[in-house]
Amino acid sequence: MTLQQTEFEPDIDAITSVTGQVRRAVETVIEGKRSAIDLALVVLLAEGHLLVEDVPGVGKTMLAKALGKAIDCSVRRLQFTPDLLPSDITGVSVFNAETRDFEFKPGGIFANVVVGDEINRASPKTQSALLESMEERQVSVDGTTYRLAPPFMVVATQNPIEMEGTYPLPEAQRDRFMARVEMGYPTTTAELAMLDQHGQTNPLDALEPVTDAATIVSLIEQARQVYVAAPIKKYIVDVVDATRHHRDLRLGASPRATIQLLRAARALAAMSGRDYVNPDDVSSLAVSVLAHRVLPSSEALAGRRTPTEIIGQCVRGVAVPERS
Amino acid sequence: MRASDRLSLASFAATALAMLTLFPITQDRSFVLWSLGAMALVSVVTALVRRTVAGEAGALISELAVLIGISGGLAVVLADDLGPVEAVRELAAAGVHHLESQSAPMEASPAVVWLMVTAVGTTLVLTDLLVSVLARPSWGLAPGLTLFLIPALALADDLSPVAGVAVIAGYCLILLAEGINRTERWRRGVIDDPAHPTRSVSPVLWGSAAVVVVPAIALSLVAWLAIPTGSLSFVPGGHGDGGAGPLQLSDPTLDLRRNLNRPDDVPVLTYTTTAPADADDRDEGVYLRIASLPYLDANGWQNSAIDVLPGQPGRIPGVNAESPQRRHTEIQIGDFDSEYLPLPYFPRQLIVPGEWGYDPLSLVYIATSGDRGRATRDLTYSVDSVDLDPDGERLSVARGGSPDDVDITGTLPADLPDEIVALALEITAEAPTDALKAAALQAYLRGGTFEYSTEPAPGSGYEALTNFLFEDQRGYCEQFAAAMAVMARVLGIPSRVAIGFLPGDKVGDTWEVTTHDLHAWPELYFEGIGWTRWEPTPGNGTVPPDWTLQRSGSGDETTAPPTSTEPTDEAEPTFEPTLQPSDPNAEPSDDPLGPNELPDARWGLAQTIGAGLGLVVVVAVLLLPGTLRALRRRRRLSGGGDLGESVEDAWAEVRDSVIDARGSWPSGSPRVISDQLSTGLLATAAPQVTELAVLVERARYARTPGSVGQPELVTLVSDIRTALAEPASRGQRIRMALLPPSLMKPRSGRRAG
Repeated sequence: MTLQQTEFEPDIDAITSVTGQVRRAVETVIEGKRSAIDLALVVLLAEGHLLVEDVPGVGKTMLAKALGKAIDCSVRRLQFTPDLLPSDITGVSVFNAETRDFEFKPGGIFANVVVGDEINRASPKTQSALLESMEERQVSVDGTTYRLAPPFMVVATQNPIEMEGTYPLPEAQRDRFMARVEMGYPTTTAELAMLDQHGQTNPLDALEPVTDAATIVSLIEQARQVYVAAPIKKYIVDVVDATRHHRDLRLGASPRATIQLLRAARALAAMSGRDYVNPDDVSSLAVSVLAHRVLPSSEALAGRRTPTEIIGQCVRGVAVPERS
Repeated sequence: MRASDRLSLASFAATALAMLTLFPITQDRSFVLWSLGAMALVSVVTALVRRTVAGEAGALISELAVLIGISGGLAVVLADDLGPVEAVRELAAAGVHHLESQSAPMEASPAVVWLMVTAVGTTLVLTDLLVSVLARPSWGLAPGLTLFLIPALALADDLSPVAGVAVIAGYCLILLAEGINRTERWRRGVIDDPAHPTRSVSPVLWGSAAVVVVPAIALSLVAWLAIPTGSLSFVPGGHGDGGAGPLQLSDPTLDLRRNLNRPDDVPVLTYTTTAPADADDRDEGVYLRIASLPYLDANGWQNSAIDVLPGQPGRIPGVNAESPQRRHTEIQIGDFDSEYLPLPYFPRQLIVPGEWGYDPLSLVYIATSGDRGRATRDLTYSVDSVDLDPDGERLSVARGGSPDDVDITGTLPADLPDEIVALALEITAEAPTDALKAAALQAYLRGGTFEYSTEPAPGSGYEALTNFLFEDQRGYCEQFAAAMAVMARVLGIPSRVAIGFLPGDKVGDTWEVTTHDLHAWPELYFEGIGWTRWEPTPGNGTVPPDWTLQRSGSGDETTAPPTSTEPTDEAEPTFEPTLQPSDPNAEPSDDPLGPNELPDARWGLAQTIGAGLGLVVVVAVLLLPGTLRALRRRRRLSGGGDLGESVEDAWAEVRDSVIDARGSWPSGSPRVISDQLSTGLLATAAPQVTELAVLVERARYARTPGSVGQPELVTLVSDIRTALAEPASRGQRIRMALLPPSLMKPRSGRRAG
């Protein structure tokens, strides 16, 4: 075995038990959305950012808030509007008359979980301020660099309808998000249960933290140690590569997507109680991680073939790896 | 080449060519491979036996023994859970029934495959008997011709001339082989020159053979095309309606039966059609729809009152977004009188002389003035239409919708007989969605219980329907369509019965539609999809539309008509093949024929030994695949390599066992495969399958493989194999043991993917 200084056996039990508790806690707030919650947890453990696309009122913001509260982290919500300024996000240096010095007022990005509501309503300049901080996990204002405390995760929401007067994220910026999730409407049963719960009180108030930021940081470190066999790496590369040659796609997924698919697969494997990634981790995450990064060709659009379907085809077209 | 081998080869080729004539009578081509295999086995065994002292008599005996062995063995393989004798009896009966109840091309059926393989094998044995055993090559045409008579009688004018040429070409091969043999004998006798041993046939002979054979084939082809066949003549039929006179069609169902029953098939129209650019199969004809019957009461399916609008067709009912791609069809009607205009569904734009109006609900065009009843006679017109082929997967989860005329097409008469309601509910009890229920109805009607026949009393009233569904079980398209439409309404799916023409036959670029192409089919309405065509009528060459055969997205439910059913009866759990090699009790020969004694055709000890040897060869050949498979299993489970290797071998063994039992192996990761197997075939061994799958997964992808010993692996595999064998019938188990399909699968490595 090659010597790698940081390699150690990950504590998988810790990851499954903590993520299980968080999942249960969040589920008390959002009923029947297990897959969305799990994906959010995967993104959290893989140090990515989540893009939530759906119509209003299905619980996009609620998901982010509940997640932040369950892991006892600071949550900030930024409502994106056309007049939101980059400094509203990063913060600004203000002259303090008493100390006679400039004093940094942190912006909305200084939190562990940042909810960017309707990110497509802000101007491109503001959007890119957010996206830069997301990528670099730090903010530079007036020459001073401020690190963002881990865990740090942006949950941006986008409303696919009412696109008038908005600035949809360009592909290059969508690529910064590790995964996209569509909430979807709840099932009838879940919606009934929701009526009962939300009838009297706000369940978010009743939600008690089940872990803390330090634990999450250590779990992130653990998840990085999940073993990925060579055939699995090849499989990931093959799946991503398939998107670059599919005739229905004008633009395939980037190398950044390859890295993020690998990270997400590690996190999912750990959450499933395994210290190694299997092909099912990769194939089940492929749509969430890749679909928002690709551009369908005009023929595909005319034929109503969605990126989700096309990515599914790409995955099915790649043979599951066998032993090397 | 020996003279006898040459004749055997010619017999083989002649029979193979004659077999080609069977192609048009069935949709299932699997008999070809079986037949070729059987013929090859017969020929090889015979040629080997001929080389022994057994001689021609031994060859004949071994030939028959091999044929009987193949026929019986195939019967056991094809008919599950029966002994050879019962299997043969069962298949013969089923095959004859199939032949009687269906018209060509028949649907796939194991019984028909067995009949054909047996017939082809018998033809080969008979040809060989005439050509080699009796040394009468000139009689060799008879068996092939007999085989050829089957499609010739079944298809009459539809049989391609090539078929006849194939039989004659085969016969010419036999004559050629005999000619070569004669020449060789002759040359040996005359030119006894050791310096120029006669090895082969001179080019002269080849040339003269060509001179004979080529004109013979050409002549037969010309004669074939020149002799008029019955279908081309316009002889008035002897039926009461004034022969081939004008066909009135005021009530569109009236003439269905009469026309289908006519002995003469009168052309009514021709058309050319250009498929839209995005069509899947650009070379298909179109159903031409005449009328639509939405109203149901005790007298059957009828027209309802229609508001006729002038001009081009309006919105397609129930369809929100139609493809911009158009199909262009030019139609020329001849001797056919109707007030309804035959049109492809869904018409969008038409150019037609005369005054026509349309029913916005059914898009049926009706003559509005003049001599309405004769409006279509000698009419030439063109129409642009869209092909709205529903997406099968989407359809499979669709619900019955409510069209604008739901008060007519969605209403069930209160006086509908209860037994029809009960039957509809019973057939569809298992199906989860409306469309799958409809598919179940279609499968039920096509499933073999019902027989296509134009004889029953016409009509689609309650009486005719109950008679068709419960007593007579015979009918033609009208009954099938009516029954399906009624039962669909029982299930809450709006329905109507469409009358029209099948696509007909393509002649050059033109499609020719005749009176026999008149047809009725049900149209069912689904939410978000609109009206869809279904095809419950079996046996007149129609195939159900693709979209009615889709697998549903999630479940394992298939909407296709069940082609084979898993046997469910219990059998003793044993892998013992019942076909034990029966050793011939022939004692070793103490008194072989003297070296100078010529073997003759009398049946004696030598012949017995020859036959016995032939039988041993046959049995050995039969047991070979099973033995190879067992050896492979032993090697895999012997362990020895590293743990990962052993686990992979165990997995590969499970894969091959599943392929042996079911013929296919799911694709995907080990976990996906184990999930699929655990919920289906291997439900009783689910824990073992999952355990092995996890071991495979760990061996392949984890840092360290799991820990398991070779004995545990062997136990896992044998548990899984036991679970596989349990539900299988005795016949299936014999097939698994004797003819394991996994041997035939390409061995893309021992890894089970």
